[in-house]
Amino acid sequence: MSLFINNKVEKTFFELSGIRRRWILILFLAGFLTLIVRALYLQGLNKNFLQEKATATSNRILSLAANRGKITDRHGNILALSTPVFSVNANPKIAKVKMTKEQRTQLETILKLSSNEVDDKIFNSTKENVYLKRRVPPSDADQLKALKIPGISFENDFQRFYPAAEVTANLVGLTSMENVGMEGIEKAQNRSLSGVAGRRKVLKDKLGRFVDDIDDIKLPQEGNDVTLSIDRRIQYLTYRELAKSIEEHKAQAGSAIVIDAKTGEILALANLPTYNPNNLNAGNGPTRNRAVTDVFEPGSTMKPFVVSAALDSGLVQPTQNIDTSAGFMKIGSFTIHDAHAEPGRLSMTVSEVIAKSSNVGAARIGLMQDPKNLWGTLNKVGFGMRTNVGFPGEVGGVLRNYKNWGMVGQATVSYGYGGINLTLLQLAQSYTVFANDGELKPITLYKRNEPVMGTKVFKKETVKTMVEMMEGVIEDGTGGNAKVKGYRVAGKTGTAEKLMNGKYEKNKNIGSFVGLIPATNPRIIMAIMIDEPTVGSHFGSAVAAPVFSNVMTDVMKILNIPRDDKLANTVPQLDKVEPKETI
Amino acid sequence: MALAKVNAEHQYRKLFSENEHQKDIGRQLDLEYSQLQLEQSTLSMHSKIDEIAKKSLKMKEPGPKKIIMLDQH
Repeated sequence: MSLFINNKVEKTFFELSGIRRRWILILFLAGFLTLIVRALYLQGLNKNFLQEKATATSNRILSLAANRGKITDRHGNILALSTPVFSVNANPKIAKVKMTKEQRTQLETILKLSSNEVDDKIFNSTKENVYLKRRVPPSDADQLKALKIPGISFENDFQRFYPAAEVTANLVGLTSMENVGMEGIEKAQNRSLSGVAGRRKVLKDKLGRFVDDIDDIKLPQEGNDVTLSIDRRIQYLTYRELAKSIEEHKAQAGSAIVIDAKTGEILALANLPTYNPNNLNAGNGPTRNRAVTDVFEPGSTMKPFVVSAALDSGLVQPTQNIDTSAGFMKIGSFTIHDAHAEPGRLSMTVSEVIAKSSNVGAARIGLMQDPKNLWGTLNKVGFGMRTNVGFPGEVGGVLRNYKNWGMVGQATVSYGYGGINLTLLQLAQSYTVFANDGELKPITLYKRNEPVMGTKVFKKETVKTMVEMMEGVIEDGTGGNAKVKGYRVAGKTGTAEKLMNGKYEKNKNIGSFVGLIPATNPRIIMAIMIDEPTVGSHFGSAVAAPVFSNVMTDVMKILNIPRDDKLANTVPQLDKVEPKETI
Repeated sequence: MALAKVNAEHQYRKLFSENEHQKDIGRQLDLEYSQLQLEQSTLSMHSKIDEIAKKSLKMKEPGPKKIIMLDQH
């Protein structure tokens, strides 16, 4: 080329050539045109794309994760807590090529992944981004970060921990991998617990340090904490004793509820079978909160309401004799039996009907009443209606309308069969009438800071009489196993055959017990139900009542509730007591 | 004038970076706090205290007759 020009220059040096000048001009113009076109191309047509690329290297948008709120018990003990963890991501396209063998082995050991898993996720993957492992603890993530493996990145995440594990699992529930509440309180309070994630845009320098904020920062809204009415100590005791009884009687399942009789706050709510919410790999397990979602026919635990209704309207007196016909009663072709009948005994007092749990006696007292009034009473104590404690999946059971009762229906409802079923939660709530001078207190799972209004159901005197009768159940009736040393206990046992496919199964029972303590001024109500006990007795008196006794012995100590029976040892004032031993 | 601007910008970025670093430390401490809360919660389980009191410390529950309660009224 240069040779060619030189030749030409030498040859035509003195020639005035318009052609040559034009050529040079054209060349220059062409050069400028190229530059203009290129500039147009970069700054006009491709502007957005290129600017994006540029900002992508120096600007970063950070998502500011909102911490999910805690769930605590009434004293602030943690039942569910989120702690930061990391998700380890991989870009297979980069990692495939750039990761060294040594780095790969270290990656496998730190994340505890098998060689196959790494093959699957990185080397056989065509994706842009894969989760290598989620919920990696910060210590492991730090180790991994130090290795600076190409193609491996980290994402902030949260993991939920449940320190009480199985003990509160059915109640507190659990969250999904994406931290959305799936069960229990986590689901019910998801919106409040979640919070809203914030974001900020920052400028990075070449070392990756953040040097400036570019946009306004949107601060994250932290999730709210939820305080339950649960007392963790009582919850644990309840769970332990329930598990013991289920194990001992080889039962299928069981539930127990402890409530503060005066405020309606649920202090413990335990269910079995349960699962460990900290270990999601084991599958979702038995997440159902049976005390809230499963109904059963209450059996004899219904009788106090039917008898109270009769006492309230003055139809019977406590000492009045009721014809119990030696434990048999026929209505048309239907026969009612007494489970604990004494041969040859033709009548019982109303008190004994409760203490000995006579079905015939309860049926007779039930039949004395106007169906509409009886239904009204049962409806007022909350049967057939949800308690609205705010737990997902709660059911309200059935209380058949009195118009469809008929004679048999009215008689069976009086001892808790046929046309009535309820959850353990409803049963526990209904007994608050006996602790509050006849007022029904709505129960709750959340801590109450103010006293709550109740609904008047029975007269004060009626309730006093009924509590005395229920003390008889413990003293010389079916509930002897529920005794608690130092305290007077009132309660009622129940045993119901399970209704399966429209038939009562003789060998499948639900044993239950509801108790109030101390009977002189009830502070605590506990309801227990054991589903299908198979070993030993199947009666509520044998399977459920001992749970009450064991749990309450400790609960009375935990809550410092003064004794009210002959072991009370109560003294009026401290300075009148001579301390005999120093502790 | 221009150099002063450059210098100011540089100083600002240095401080900003330092601030970020301190915030990181704050986050780290938050994390530690949540882990300690978990630990405390696990260690203070009723069952655990009960077991330690009875087994290691050989404590016994007082019988009903040894307990004297004060009338609050």
